[in-house]
Amino acid sequence: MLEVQDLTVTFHTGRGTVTALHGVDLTLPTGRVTGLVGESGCGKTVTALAVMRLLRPPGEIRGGRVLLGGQNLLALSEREMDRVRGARIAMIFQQPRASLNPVFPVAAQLTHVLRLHRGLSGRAAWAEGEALLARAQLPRPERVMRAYPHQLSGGMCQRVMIALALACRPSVLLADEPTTALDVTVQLQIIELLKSLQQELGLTVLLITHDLGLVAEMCDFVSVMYAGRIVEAAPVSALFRRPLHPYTRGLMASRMRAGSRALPAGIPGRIPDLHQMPAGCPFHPRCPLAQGLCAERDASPETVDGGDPAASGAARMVRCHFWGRGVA
Amino acid sequence: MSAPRGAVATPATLPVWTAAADAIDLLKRNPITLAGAAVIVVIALVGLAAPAIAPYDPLTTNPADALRPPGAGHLMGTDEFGEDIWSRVLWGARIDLAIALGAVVVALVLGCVIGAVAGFWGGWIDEVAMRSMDVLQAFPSFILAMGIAAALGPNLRNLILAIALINVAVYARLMRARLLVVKHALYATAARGAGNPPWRVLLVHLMPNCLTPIFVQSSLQSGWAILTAAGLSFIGLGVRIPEPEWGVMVAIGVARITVGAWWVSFYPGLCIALAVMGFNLIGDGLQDLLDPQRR
Amino acid sequence: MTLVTFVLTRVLPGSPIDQIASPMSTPAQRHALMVHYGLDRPLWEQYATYILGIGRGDLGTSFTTSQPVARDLERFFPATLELTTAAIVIATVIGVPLGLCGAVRRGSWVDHLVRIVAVVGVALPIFWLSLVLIYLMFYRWHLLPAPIGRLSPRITPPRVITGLLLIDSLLGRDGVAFADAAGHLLLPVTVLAFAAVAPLARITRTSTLDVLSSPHVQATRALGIPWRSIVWKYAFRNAMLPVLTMLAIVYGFLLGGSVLVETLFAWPGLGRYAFNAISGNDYPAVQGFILYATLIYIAIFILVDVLYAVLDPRVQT
Repeated sequence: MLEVQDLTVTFHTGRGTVTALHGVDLTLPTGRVTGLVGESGCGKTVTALAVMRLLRPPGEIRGGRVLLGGQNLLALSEREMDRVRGARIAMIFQQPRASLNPVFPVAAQLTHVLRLHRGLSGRAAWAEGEALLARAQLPRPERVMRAYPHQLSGGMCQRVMIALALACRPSVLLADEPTTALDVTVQLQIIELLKSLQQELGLTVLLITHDLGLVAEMCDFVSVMYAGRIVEAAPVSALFRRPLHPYTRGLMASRMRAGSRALPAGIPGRIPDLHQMPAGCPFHPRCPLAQGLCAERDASPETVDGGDPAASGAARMVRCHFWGRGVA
Repeated sequence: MSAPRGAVATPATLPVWTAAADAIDLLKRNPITLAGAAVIVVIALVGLAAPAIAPYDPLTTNPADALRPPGAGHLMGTDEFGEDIWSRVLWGARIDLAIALGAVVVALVLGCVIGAVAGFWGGWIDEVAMRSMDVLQAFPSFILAMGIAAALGPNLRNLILAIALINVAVYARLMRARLLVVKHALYATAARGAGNPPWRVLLVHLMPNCLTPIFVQSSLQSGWAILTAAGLSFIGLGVRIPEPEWGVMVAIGVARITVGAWWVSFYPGLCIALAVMGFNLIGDGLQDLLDPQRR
Repeated sequence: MTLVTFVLTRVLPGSPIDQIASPMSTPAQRHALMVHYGLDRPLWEQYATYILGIGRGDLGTSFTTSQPVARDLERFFPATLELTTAAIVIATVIGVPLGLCGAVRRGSWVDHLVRIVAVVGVALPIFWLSLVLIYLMFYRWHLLPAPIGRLSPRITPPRVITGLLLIDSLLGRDGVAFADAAGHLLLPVTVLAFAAVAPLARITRTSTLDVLSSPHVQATRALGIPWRSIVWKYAFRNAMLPVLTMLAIVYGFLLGGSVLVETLFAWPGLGRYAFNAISGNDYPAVQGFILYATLIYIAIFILVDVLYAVLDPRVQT
C-alpha cells in the first residue's frame, strides 16, 4: 500500500510563492487501481512527481509523508531514493516520445536499469530486455532494442516506457495520462496492455487522467482533485452512482471525452490562478451551491458512509460544506 | 493572438510600447541588467557632454608633454603626441557609440526590409534574398567586415556600413521568421480584407508585430559592433589616426607598450570592454524577459 | 562567394600599380605592368580569368611578394592553423567543463564564475588583451620571450614535416625548439582561447540546463538511475550537440581574431599576411585570403555536420 499524507508542495515564482498542493491525502490500496482526476493544472502531475521525489526547483515539498510499506520516502536520502525509484515505484509519462532520450537506442536505458537494480550481466540484461519488450507486446523486440525513439511510433514509445518502468518489478506504478498524447485506437491498446499487466503482476496503480470514461473502465477507487486539494474520494462505483461534491457532479455532467483538453462545459468559469486563490473553498466562485460560508473558510474532509453494499461498505470522503444539498 | 476588434483591426497597443514597459519592469527586478543600462547611459552622457567636460582638445598635440604617465594634470596620462588621453577617451565615447548606433540602425533597417519583403511575398524573391543572406553568413564575419571596409576605404561612414552589412543577415532572418508567423494572423487577413494595399498591410499591420526579438538582438549587436569597429580601426581599416576612437587609441599605444607606456592603450581598451559589457548585459536581460525559461 | 570576394577587392581604393611600380616609372612602364597583370582588361574578363584560375588551384600572383598567392597562403597557413587549433582546443577543454559544472551546480560559485566569464570574455577586445598580457608577461615580469614570431632567432627551426612547430619539434626530438615554440605560442593562444571560452561555456551551460530539465531526463530519473550517470552518460551527449555548432562558429571567429593577434605578435600566419596585403592594396592576396579563410570555415562546418550525424541518430547520413 502506498499512502500519501498531508502532502504540501510550493513553487517559487517571480511573483511570490504559490502553494500547488494543500495537504493532499491519497491512499493506493495494494493491487488495485486508483484514479486521480481533475482539470489540467489542478496538481495531479505534481502529486505524482512529489511521490517520486522528482520535483525540480522551483518546486519544493514543504510537508507531509509518503509511506511505502511503512517507510517514509520523503525522509530518504537521494541515494536511498534512487534504489526506490524504478525498483519499487515506477512512473510513466504523458509524452512517451519526449520521455525517451533521442540519441540513445532503446537498449541503452533498458539494459542499464536491469544491470543497476537487478544486477544482471550485460548478456542477461539484453535477453531480459527483449523479453520485457515482448511482454509489452512490441513486435520484433530484437529490432526495437536497437531502434532509436524517432524510429518508433508514439504507441510503441509508450510500450517501451512501460517495459522500462516494469523492468525491475516495482510494486507501484504511477501512470500520468499515459494515453493522452496517443491516437484513439492506440489509446485502447495501451489501456488493454496496462490492464493485463496490472492484473498479471498485481500492481498497485495510480492512474492520473481527466478522462472519466477511462476511470470507469480501469479504476477501483478514485480521488477527485481541485486546485491542489482532494475534494472527493470514493470507490468508483459509488462515485459514479452518487457523486457528492458539486465539482465532481460538474465533471460528470460535462462528460469529458477521451483526449479532450477543453474545460468541462458543465462547470462555468475556469480553474483559479494559483497566484489569486479565492479565500475559503477554492471552488466557491464556480459552485452552484456556494453560500456566504464558502467564501470564508474551506471545508474540512468529511468521512461519509458509502451506503453502497457493492463497494463493500468502503468509506468515502468529501470536502464540501453543503455536499448534502442537491444530491439525488 | 486574440480576435480582432473591428474591421481594420490593429493590435490594441503597439508592441514597441509594451516592450518598453516590460523593459522598465525588468530593470526594477534585475540589478545586473540595471548595471548594464547604467554603464551605457553614463557612456552616452559622457559622449554628449565631451566638448564641455574634456579638459583638453582631443586633437591638440604637445610634443613637450608626450608619454606622461597618469597623474596630476593628465588623469590618464598622454600619448606619444602629447594628447591628453582622458579627454580623448571622453570624445571616444561619442564616436564609438555613434558607430554602434549607426551600424545597428543601418543593419536593422536593411535587414528588416529584406526579411519582410522575402517573408511577405515569398516565391523567387524569398529564394534570392535568403540565398544571398546564406552567402553573407558563409564568411567568417570579421574577415568579411575587413574585406568590405577595405573595399569601401577606411573612414567612419564606411566602417559603419561594413559592420552593418555583415549583420544584415541576422535581422533579415529574424524578421522573416517572425513575419511568417504573423502573416496569417487574423488581424492581417482582416486588414487585407478591408482593402488595404499589400505594402500597407506589411508596413502598418505586420512589421510592428515582429520588432520585439529584433530589439533584443539590437542590444547584443551594439556591443558586438563596437568590438568590430574597434578591431577594424585597430588594424587601420576604420577610423584613422589621430581621431579619438577607442580602437585607434589602443593602436597608437602598441609601439610604446614594450617600453612601459601601458596607459596609452590601457584606458581606451577598458572603455571598449565596459561598453560591450553594458550592451551585452542589457541584451541578456531582455532575452530572459522574452524567454523566462532560459536562464 | 568568389564573386563577392572579387567585387570586394576590385573596388579597393588606390591602384596596386602604385605599390609595384617605383615612383620613378614612366606612364608607359606603368601601362606595361597593368597589361602584365591583366588589370587593363574589363572587370568581367578579369573575373572569368580569376574563376578559371581557381579551378586550377591558381589564385593569381601577389603584387607584393611576387609569389603565387596559393603558395603564399600554403606557406603561412600552418602558423595560423597551429595558433587557432591550440586556442580552440584549450578553450574547449576549459569552457565545456566550466559550462557543465555551472549547469549541474546551478547557483553555485562555479555557476557565477561561468556567467562572469561569459560576460567578460566576449567583451574584452582581443587586441587590447594581447597588449595587456605582453606588457605584464614580457615587459614587466620577463616571463616570456619577446612577442615576435614563432621562434626566437637563436633557435634552429625543426625540420618541416607538418609545418606545426610543436609537432615538428616533437617529431625531431628537439626539446629546446619545442619549449621555445610553446613559449611563443603561449600568449597569443591564451588571448584567443580566452575569447573563445566565453561562448563555449555559455552554450554548454544553456544546453545542459535545457537537457537536464527535459522530459527524458525526468523519465530516466524515475527509473532510479543515479543523477551522476544521468548527467555524464545521458545528458552530456544531448548537451554536446549545440556545442558542436558553436565550435564551428567560434573557429570562424578565431580566424578573424588571428588577423589582430598575428599582427600584434608578428606571427607569420595568414592573418598577418592579410593585414599586409590590405595595407598594400594587394588584390589577389586579399581575395585569396578571404577565399581561403572562408573555405576553411566551410570545411569546419562540414566536419561538424559529420560529427553531428555520428552523435545524433535523427540526422540522416
